[in-house]
Amino acid sequence: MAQQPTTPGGPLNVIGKRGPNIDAVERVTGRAKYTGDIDIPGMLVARVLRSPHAHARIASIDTSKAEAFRGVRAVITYKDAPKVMIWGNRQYALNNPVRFKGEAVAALAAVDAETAEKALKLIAVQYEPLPFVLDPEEALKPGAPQLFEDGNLEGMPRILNRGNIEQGLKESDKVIERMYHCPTMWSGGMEPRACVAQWEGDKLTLWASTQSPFRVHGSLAAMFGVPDGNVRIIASYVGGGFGTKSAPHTDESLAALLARKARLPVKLQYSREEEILDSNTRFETRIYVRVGVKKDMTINALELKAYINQGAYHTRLGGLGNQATHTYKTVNVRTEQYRVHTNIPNTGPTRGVGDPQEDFAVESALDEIAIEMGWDPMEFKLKNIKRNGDPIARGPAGVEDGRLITQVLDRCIELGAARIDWTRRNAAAGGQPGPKARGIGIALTERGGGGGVGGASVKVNLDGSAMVFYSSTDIGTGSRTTLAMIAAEVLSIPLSMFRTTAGDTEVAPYDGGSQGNRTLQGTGRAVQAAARDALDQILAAAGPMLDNTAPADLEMRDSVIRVKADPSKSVKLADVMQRRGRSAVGLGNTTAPQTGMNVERTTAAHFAEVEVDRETGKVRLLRYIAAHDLGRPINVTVVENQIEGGSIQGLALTQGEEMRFDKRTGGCLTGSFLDLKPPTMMDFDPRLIEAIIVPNEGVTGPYGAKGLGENPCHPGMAAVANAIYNAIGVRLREVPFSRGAVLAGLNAQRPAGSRTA
Amino acid sequence: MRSSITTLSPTTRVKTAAEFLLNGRAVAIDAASPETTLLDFVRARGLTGAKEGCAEGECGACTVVMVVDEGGRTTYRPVNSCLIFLPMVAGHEIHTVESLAAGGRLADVQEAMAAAGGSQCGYCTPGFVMSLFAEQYRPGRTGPCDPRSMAGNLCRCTGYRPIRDAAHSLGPAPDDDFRARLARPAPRLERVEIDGFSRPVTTDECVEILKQDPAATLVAGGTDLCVESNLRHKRWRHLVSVDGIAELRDFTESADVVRIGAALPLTDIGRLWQSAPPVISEWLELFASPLIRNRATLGGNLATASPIGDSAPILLALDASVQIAGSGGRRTMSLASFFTAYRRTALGPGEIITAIEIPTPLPDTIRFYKVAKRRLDDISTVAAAMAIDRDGSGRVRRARFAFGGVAATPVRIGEAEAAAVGQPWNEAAVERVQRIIDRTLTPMSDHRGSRDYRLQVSKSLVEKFWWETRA
Ligand code: FES
Ligand code: FES
Repeated sequence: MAQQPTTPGGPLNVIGKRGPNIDAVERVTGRAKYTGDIDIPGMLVARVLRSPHAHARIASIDTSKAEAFRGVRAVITYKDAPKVMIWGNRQYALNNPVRFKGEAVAALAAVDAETAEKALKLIAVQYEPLPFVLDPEEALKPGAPQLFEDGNLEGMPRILNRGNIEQGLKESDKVIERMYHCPTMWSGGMEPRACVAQWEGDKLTLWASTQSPFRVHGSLAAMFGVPDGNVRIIASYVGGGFGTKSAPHTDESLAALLARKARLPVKLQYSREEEILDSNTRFETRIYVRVGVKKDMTINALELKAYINQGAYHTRLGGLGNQATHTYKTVNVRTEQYRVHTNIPNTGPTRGVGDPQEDFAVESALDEIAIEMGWDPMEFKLKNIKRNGDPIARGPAGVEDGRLITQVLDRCIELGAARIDWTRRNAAAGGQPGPKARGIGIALTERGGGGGVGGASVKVNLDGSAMVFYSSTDIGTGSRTTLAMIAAEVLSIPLSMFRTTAGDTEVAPYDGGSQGNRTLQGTGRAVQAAARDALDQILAAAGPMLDNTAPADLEMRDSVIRVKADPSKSVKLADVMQRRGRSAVGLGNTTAPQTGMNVERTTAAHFAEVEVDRETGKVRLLRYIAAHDLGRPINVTVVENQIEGGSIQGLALTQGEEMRFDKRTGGCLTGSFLDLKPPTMMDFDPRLIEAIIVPNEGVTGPYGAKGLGENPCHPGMAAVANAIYNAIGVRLREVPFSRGAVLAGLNAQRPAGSRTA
Repeated sequence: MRSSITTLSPTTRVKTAAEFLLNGRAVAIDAASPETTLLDFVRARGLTGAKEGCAEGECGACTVVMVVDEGGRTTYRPVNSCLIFLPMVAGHEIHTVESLAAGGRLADVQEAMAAAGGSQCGYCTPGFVMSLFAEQYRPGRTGPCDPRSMAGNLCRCTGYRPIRDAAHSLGPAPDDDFRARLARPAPRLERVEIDGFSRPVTTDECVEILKQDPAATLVAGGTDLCVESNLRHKRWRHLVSVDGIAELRDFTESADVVRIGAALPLTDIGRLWQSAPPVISEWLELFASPLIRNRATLGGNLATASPIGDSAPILLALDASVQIAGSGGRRTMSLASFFTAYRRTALGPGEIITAIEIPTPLPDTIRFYKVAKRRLDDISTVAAAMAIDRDGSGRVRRARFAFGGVAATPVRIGEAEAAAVGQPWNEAAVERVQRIIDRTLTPMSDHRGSRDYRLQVSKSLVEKFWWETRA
């Protein structure tokens, strides 16, 4: 890091360093207990019966045989499901009609898995198949099969208007119109969904593999009509989420319903196929773009019309991000979003939500128009990006009523371009002869930092060790480590003295959860406040041991409290705590940061270099530079991991992870790793991805940190598409970039009858 | 039900339930269901470090190591515990991640993974740790650990770089009990007979078992059968493991033939076939992940007769033949006539493949191509193997064009081969071959690739082969 971290209080001791995760030992030894590892005496195993139809009314359902089967303790159908939606999303725990192939129809709990599997076959269901629709644009046409009484369109089209788009296009010197398509894509983590439900009277404890325990908490308290205090959600170790676990889901409701009916604890663990089918995946988008530029290289108009395939139910409503509205200084902008229900599985926010898809459309279209105008796409983008002080919208309406601050996107571009050596890019796309051609592409991105309400507590024990309690989660983002580092920095207690309890809604205050770049900023600010509160208590208790010095005149360094004016007067933290005889419990309940007019965003510039084999259509990544603004890094190791891991996920979207559906049955054709092909170590050489941490300091997050988790996943598709174009002159507007698509593009270029050699 | 079988050799009859060593302790195999996987078994015993990520051998979250013999040397082999039926580990020594730090100190690999930041959400971590552990203790290894040893482990959080760094940071295996164990011989597999499961130790015994119980199902590495069980809940009345038959794990190389035991894991083929050209190791690597290669066998892969099985095209191009044993005796047939129809082979009831024979010298020029979305450990859209020999004047003396994924069975295109022979190996020859391919191949369309795409790929692979092998 070029920059020496400082705060008004002096140099930082913990923040900004490298270091392993504080819970690494639990993880490398296999001792970390994930939800599926939990075993409670008498616990039953649940299995789910799933719909063989993409859309069907359940005419009758007979569970008597299954109920009578030896070892079965409870069976539930839609008749048992409370008429309370899981998450305001039109979906009950079990539904009639069922609206996608693979939707839960019934569930049962039995003494073991083998019994449960056998008993499932004894549930007799009569379906009345209904017509179904898979395509979002088809679903809006008159006469399309209807999923809900009020139609397939969810709510109103979301329209944002700034300036005058038609006039902007008319006054442009060049306008292009394009469509970019991203299919439904899997986005899950390594741990399939799992939960364990246990009722004691009317108190429910649910261990769940969730990112956002309090969302699940609220959902289940409402579903069962019990007070908030009767529910406890525990998500201690979570094996990855990437958004798929950011909202309450069917499995949690089913486990809780079964456990209540059986009066025994119930574990429900999804298989990989169930996790792919019945989770929350990246939504399909079809984005129609119109962009107009002026000869002076300014973007004069940018319009996006997006059809978003929400699937049967929306885990949460999907939508585009703010690539079109927040990245560039465009005056005339319009975005129009149609969120459409179809008979495919649930979709919702996954890493980046709609940003990767939007980024693909915007960053590709700008690349296209720049090249058509004969401009260098990087110069073009650099000229048009918003910079500090530029107007930017504070709210979702898009009115530019705020002012951009702490922005370093220009530095991201410059540092990234220097690292990849942008000058090596082909001046003319596809100009290299021979069977293999190389190219370089650029894509930018941006996102909000995610603050909002945060809650946490910090407890300093009688021996001077400390705990951080929080109810958002560590899904692999290193939050146990970074949050403990924040507390360690505030208190100046060595990091090694810290333990954390994550994801527990009973012991920690309310918090928004771990999604949308928010844990470090939202929960982080709460931890910072809680640690300060605890410190105040400690200093107050130390005063009487140090000649009644006022707390304001004391400071703690490395677990020793000293009189600022006379450091020779000191007392050890453990002694203060012993004498106090009570733990120091600091509370942090923070509201969204108040920044007035100021708007802080977090940005990145990615650069891809690829080699395309003209004979097989194979695209090989040669180098990938990810230059990010993340404010001040709390832990550089964690930051690099997030950037590299997120970049690979963005790149994986270009290769596969597409969920395909059979047009005749609506069934998912890609229900396994074998079909989805998440990249292994051999697919992307990890050395090809280089993270650049652009020096910066934010104002809204703890110690100047900004959220980071989502952004690295955004620009991959656009950066690679732009690089492929630069290599071979073939423009790919549909993801994934299969060899077939590359070959088809090359064939279309050739005069009929010619062959490559 | 198989009391008659155990009388085959009364002196060695297994009297007690089979056992294996789990983290150094003897554990009885409970025979409730032979399809219980090793993964489910260890997890039910509270050893929850190994995780289920897919139950089909695709993620390595379930990796454990087994102690095996490697040509007289003892070594640790990482395997997917989700792809091993419990009775198959009878007599084996298995270590799960819990074994590594049992003494209270972290093992080197654990230290390295923690220090490098190689664990984020951690769900994949025990699997990586076990693959890397086996690599660190690999006998004869010099220099840093090879990250490719973890190619069968998936991680969604990291970008793999820190895991790779961990591998590179590891030196020789420490002088500890794990290393000391390697100085002693690996366990020898003995006969097992428990309800629903047999493990004979000779071919004759195996043939006899199949004769007594024609409905019995052979299992070799288990990498296909376990997927059938785990994902499609298939059950078998009687599984017969060929793991214990020494003859089926033999490898011999003579002046005119290489003979590969049908139940020899792919890892050992690579290790033992020293004179093999580089294409063989490339092919093995593309075949499957190291975890799968440690269990999968050629016999198993050929017997399933999958149209896209990865071993058929190259073995076809190498003119391989298959040795078969049955109660009627032994026979040998060419691989080209072994595949009879979609997922059908010429194996008669009660017959087993004992070995695959490849005539030597191998063709001068051989190439193997696999077109799949992912590089390794993936089902091919099209797999092809091509070989040519040329005479002194550059004319083709012998040609072999073999394809998978373009017809109901793996095929050799005899017509194209004949068309190439006697001609110079040039663009005109390529075009002739391509025209024949267009006419004769009948690929299917599915979600992996359309008919036209498969045809186009097949033709461009011929062109690529020519480009790479032209004079
Ligand atoms: S669980 Fe995925 S390989 Fe075994
Ligand atoms: S650390 Fe999460 S999958 Fe590897």
